[in-house]
Amino acid sequence: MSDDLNKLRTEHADGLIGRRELLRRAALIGLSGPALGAFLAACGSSSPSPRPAGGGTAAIGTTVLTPAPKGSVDSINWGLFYEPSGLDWIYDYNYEENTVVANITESLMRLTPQFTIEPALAESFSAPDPLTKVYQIRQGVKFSDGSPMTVDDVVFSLQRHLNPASFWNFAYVNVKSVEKTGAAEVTVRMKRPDEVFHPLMATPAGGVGKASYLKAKGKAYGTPSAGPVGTGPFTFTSWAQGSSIIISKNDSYWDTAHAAKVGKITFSFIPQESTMTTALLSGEIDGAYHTPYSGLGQLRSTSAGKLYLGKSMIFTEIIIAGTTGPLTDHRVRTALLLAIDRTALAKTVYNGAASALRNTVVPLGEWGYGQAEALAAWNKLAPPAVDLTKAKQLVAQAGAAAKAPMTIATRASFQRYINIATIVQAAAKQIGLTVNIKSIDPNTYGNLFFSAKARSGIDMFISENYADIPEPLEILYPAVVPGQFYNYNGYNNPTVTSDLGQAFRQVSDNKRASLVLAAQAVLANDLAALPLANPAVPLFMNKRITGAPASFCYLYYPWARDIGAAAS
Amino acid sequence: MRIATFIAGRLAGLAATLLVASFVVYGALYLAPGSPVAVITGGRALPARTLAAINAEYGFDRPFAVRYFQWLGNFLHGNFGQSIVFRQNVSTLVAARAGTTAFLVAYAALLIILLGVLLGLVSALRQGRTDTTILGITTVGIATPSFVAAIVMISIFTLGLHWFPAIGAGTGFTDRLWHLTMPAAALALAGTAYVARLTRSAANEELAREHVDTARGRGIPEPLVIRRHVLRNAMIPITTVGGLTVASLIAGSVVVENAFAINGLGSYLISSVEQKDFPVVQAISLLLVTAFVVVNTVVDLLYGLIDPRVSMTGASR
Repeated sequence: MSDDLNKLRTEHADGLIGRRELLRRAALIGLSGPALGAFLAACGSSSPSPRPAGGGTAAIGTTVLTPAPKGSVDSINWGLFYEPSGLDWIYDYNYEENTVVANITESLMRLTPQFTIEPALAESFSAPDPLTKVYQIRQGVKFSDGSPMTVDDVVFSLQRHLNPASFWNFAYVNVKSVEKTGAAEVTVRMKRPDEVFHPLMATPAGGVGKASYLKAKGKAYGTPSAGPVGTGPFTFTSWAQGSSIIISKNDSYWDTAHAAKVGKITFSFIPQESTMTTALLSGEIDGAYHTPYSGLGQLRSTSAGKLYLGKSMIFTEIIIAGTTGPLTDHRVRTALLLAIDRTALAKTVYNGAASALRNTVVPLGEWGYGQAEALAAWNKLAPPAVDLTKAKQLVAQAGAAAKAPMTIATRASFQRYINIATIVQAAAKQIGLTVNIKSIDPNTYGNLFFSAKARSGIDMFISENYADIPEPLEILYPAVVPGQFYNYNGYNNPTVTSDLGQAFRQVSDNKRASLVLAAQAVLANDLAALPLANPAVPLFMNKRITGAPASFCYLYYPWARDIGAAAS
Repeated sequence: MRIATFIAGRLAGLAATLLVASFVVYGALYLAPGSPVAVITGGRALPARTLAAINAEYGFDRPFAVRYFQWLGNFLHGNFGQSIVFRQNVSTLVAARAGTTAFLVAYAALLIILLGVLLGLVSALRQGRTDTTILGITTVGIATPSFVAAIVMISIFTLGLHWFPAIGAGTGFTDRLWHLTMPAAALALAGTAYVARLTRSAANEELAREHVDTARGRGIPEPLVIRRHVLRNAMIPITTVGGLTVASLIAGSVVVENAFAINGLGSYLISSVEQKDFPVVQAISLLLVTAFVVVNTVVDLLYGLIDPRVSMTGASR
């Protein structure tokens, strides 16, 4: 409720709504009497800011880097929107866990801000045949405790993922063995060709920790009592449960050209959106990734710092959940998508920080290879325009079955999903379809991704997901190949399955790009899911600091090493 | 002796309440849909084999009775279990936060009792404009939810005047006091206004009674009349309401802790419920139940001190 109020206040401050509308909506939220008076006083006291410039034609979320720093800083405070559950990389599979651990535990490969994969703890990589991946391990690398990193540490670390309890076990689904094959060489043998494995070595799936320490600490590793030990530019210092995690510069970092310029980083956990925005405005927090969309108006207009909208691999889609109901008819799916104004949705739901997707869930920026071909293919996809006439024709062709009521699930108290569900409902109504909104409590909502039982009675649900690596196969393959874990509606198109299956095994980037793009073209028509938007990554840094990459690399790239003082 | 029996009775009641509460909370959490796995993985999908491994590791695949009695057995041995989300001992996790909430609630309680009684008395004794002003302020106070108070305070005292920080609980006594002033004020606002209102009417009632006129007529100095004859008699309703208000602060701290990003028990309870972190929810709920019972017992003991005519047995409500 207070987030709603804050959003309302922001909209009023931005001039998006007038005072009368402010009053009306405040009353709807449940404010009355003196509380309303107090709230209005607070609205009056915030300075009005101009509406953000740009008529929506400029590309949104293309920033990759921020200005380079001119000097070093002793310490900074960084905001996280929840407390990481742990810092053991094999269980780190969510935003803030990865945001922190990316600076401590490095991987064999590294995801760059430009969305390419480059060597990190592996000095070089070769694939003598499709079933063999050979990594030459970098020598002279030290863990933050001063001990050298060995090939045995690498083998032990990779083998941790062979346990199905590792959240990154999926990367190893085709792995037969991980072995030391030389003084500085690790060889991974595959059961079948798998070209997604290697880029995943830039994520925690390729993370390296100190074997003896991991064995000694067991399950306590990565908790406050046994902080992680890695090779990264920062060292774990302390974790005060519930309030902060502190990391410090690793003075013996091997990559001396990129040594950290910040002495100490204190991460604070700020779940409430309005509080995060305030803390950034007041300077209590120097910066944060993924700042609340509700506060973008204030962060854009403040002189306290600068807001960047970074290039991202995040995509918002409507997942078709069921194997029955009107949405199993591809004409109904097409009609519904044609009725949804994706451009307006991207603008309103994300407060101007997203761009509309065309008929593919793969954002253009996600292509780490074959960019030219991907761009050409993107331009061939129809622009996300509304076409009610065509939509109505399709509904008419689909006949009476299309008119059955459908249910869209939305996450209770999660404003973005509620807004999207409302937009979908209104769009459906315009073309004679009935959509009911079912609000599901936040935790249960996550279960929609896991359990068929949770999805029963649900025709579609909203998802904001992201690719871990710049490889479209990583998100497409599990979603559209029959039997895969993201394929909820039993989508099965032999052409797509065959193209993606070949792509999975295809070593050549060019050939792989052609295969994935061929599948994408079929999917654009089939619509196994309804693509909506590509939200940018909002990054805010106050004027004291600069340098953090703006793009969506920060879950796996040691972003904090690039931060420094804005002035020399 | 009487007090000892009374306290022993209360302790027995507490034990029974805790047992029932533990079962109800565990049961409710078990029946509520959802699983902690979805939270740990951020709602992203994982292959079935990984899910199965996680479920087996945490015992999510075992039946309710087995899980509850296992928890109960550990609890009776002083073992609160391990947090599912943080993979840590619950006692460590709770202890790290209990101090902050205790400080916040004590600070707010102090504000409520001191300011509430003071404002109420001033209002009752000074009729006219002062009374009207205080009445106006308390009306706004009672009607303002703490999260609205928090937003208003942050925009004035943090963004406007830069007096107080918007986030965190601070370390060390002075820093803590500075960090928790706004949260405590936001938390205490409605309670203060309520106690002030109640004090005002209780004092007004006493002021109009014969024994006060008599005392004044006998030439007893006014401050003494107020202290002995007005305030003392008015204390019974004030204590009742004050006690209840303070006990409710423990639950009310949730909202304020969230608004000011404070690492307290309240916000932790909320996130643990959302994450279905059974052992943590159990530990905090039982701690809150205990705190509530203790505060009420203290209030009942206070009755005896304020008015010796109130017997211990009669006071146990």
